[in-house]
Amino acid sequence: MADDVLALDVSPSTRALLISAGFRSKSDFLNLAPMDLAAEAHIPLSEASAIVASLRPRALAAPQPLLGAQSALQMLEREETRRHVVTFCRTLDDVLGGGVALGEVTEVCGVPGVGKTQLAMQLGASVQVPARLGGVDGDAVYIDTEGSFMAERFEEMCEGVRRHFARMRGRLGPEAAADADALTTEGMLQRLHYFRAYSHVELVAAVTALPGFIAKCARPVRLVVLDSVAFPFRHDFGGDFAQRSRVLTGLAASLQRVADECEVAIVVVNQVTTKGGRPSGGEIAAAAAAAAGDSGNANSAARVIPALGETWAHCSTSRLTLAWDDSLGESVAPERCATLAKSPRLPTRTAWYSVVADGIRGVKSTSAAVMVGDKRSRDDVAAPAEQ
Amino acid sequence: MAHHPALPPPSGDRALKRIAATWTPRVSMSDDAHVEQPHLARIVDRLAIRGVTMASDVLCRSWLDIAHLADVDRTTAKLLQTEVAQAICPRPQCALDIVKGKRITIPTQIPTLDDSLRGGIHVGHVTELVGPAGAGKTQFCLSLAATAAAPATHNGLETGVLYVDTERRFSASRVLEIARTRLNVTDHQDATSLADRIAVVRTENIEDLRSRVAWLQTSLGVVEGGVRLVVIDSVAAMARCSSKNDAGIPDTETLGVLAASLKRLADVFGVAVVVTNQVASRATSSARVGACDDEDIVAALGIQWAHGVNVRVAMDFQGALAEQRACTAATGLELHRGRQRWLEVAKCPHAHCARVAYRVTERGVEEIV
Repeated sequence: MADDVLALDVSPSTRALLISAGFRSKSDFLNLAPMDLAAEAHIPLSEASAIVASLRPRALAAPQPLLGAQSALQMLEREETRRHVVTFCRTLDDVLGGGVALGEVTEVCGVPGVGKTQLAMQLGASVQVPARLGGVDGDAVYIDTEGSFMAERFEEMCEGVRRHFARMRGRLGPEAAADADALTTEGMLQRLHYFRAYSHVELVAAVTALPGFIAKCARPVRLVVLDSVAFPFRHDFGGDFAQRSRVLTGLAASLQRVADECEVAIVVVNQVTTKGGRPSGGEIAAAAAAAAGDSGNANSAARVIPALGETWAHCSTSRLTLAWDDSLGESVAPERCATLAKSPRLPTRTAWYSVVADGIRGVKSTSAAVMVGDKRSRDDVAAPAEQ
Repeated sequence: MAHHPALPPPSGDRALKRIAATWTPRVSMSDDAHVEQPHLARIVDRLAIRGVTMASDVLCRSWLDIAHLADVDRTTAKLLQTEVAQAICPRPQCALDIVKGKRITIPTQIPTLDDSLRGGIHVGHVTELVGPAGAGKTQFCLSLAATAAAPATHNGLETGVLYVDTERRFSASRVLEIARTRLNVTDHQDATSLADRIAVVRTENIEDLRSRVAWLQTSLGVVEGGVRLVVIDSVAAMARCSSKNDAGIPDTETLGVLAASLKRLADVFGVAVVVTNQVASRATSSARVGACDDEDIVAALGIQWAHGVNVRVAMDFQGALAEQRACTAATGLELHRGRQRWLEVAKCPHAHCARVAYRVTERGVEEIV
């Protein structure tokens, strides 16, 4: 025992240093990091590392501080193969980098009536597009806190998706055409799972139980919509904002985990509130100005900002702001636009979209000067994989 | 979790003890199957000593807190949270089942609007009418009440109506007039039973209304024929009365709670909730009432309330405010009488925006074809 140190495969001078530093048996080296050993015995760090490595039991042979780490190259591959849920509006997909990304939490906010729920329902339909048609072929989970989900409207959008691929059938390969034929409105309705949560407690319960539900689903769930996170959180807490932000942060963490581990796209709808000017006085719909970069009336009108405050603002990976764009003048009916306000990898850009009977589509317009990106007709959207 | 004393407990919250009572001596279905549910039940007892008695107390805390309070390891704490979540998680429905379930609608008797709203005012939704004074909001509500309460033989729904009248504008004779001229309810017996089905509540206090709504949940089914329509005319007047500050801005917290309880009422009991809202003038912004461009007029009650309603119908005179500014109040009123009225779906999850010209006649709110 005492001469363990003599058995070490080190140079005599190092051995002498070790002995003079008081090292005798193997146990002396236990739980000693190479750095500490080097300092204590006054030996070079490289030798200390070698000693520690040679004394370590086999199982611990390779200390793994980098366990689970990925190189940026691997991450790049992952990002490049990242799948997206298309919105059926080409310009909006471009702004989002191909659609709403799987594995991320995307927040959608905007004034009442601008189309947040419409976009959420559209995603619920387009997530089901088969892989050969350029989709992700997944089920959708819809957690509704507002009661605004309309199954009849969703049916209409499913029908819109089905019609879209029926129209393109001639341009598809035989397999893709078979997939297009297999799409039925009824089948799509069956693949949306609807949860109605009346309070933040039910919402938290639904999110906590989500991994279990996803695991039990026969087909993979690829989209979770939470419409909206703001409604229960804006009045259930009686002014206890500390508690509110604790619960919100916990909810956000659960959502991020579900998104990543189950490879689903999570879309969180948020409301907006007014800031500055007269506090929450009487403003209903306004301020596409902020999105369109129009600062003309910025000092007079109260600013419209996403609800739930700064804590929540950190919780989503990307944030899409929907607004009315009336910058084209009084005579033109205002159009709806979507701005990517926050993203870890994409620039801030704006897309114009419209809500039609079939769902969310692009707009046909010639005023290209104010557009970002190119605009195509709505028949063009969601190109199949082979195009 | 300590709740504001004035607030009702959040919906869906349940006592841990009752959840634990449903756990049978089987092994949990979760991944961490080594912890049995009876074991969790003992943890629930331990938590009760620490004052953790409700499901929300467990779910709204981090697992670290739970592990500390119950003196258990992390796996058990997480498992407890999952099991509690599964117990109170709302049951999922598939969209196909929702489509198949029939939705009741109350026709507004305005063909274009009914068309756009898919049959009329939907049961399960909170529908808001917003417009300036004299636009016809109350008339719209009275027509709707008449349709809902009218006998089935006269194209009515023959259902109970709860009419919350905050401004003392409800007129029974007007309801009967609309029923007579529009729905052809001429028989005295029919008219009596129609009037009998409408319960009018007068309250000016938002707190009072909220407690009544909570109370309604227990007695809706008791009213003969069931209540399918709740009208609150007007919610803005009430909120403005209840507000404590000078600016006439209602307490958003109270409004939010009201919106939430109305929605739950609408959804769970299959009731159509119709509320009216006023407009406020706003000199400096370019805000709009819904989708129609009307500078300087905005809906009252603020943006949070606007998020809270499912459907918003805006009623307006064409260019009402622009001319009003140029006139004295009296002549402005004269102008109103002769001006075209417009009705517009400003927010709706299932409708395309529609714009309808209407007038108010003895038959109620009527579309101009």
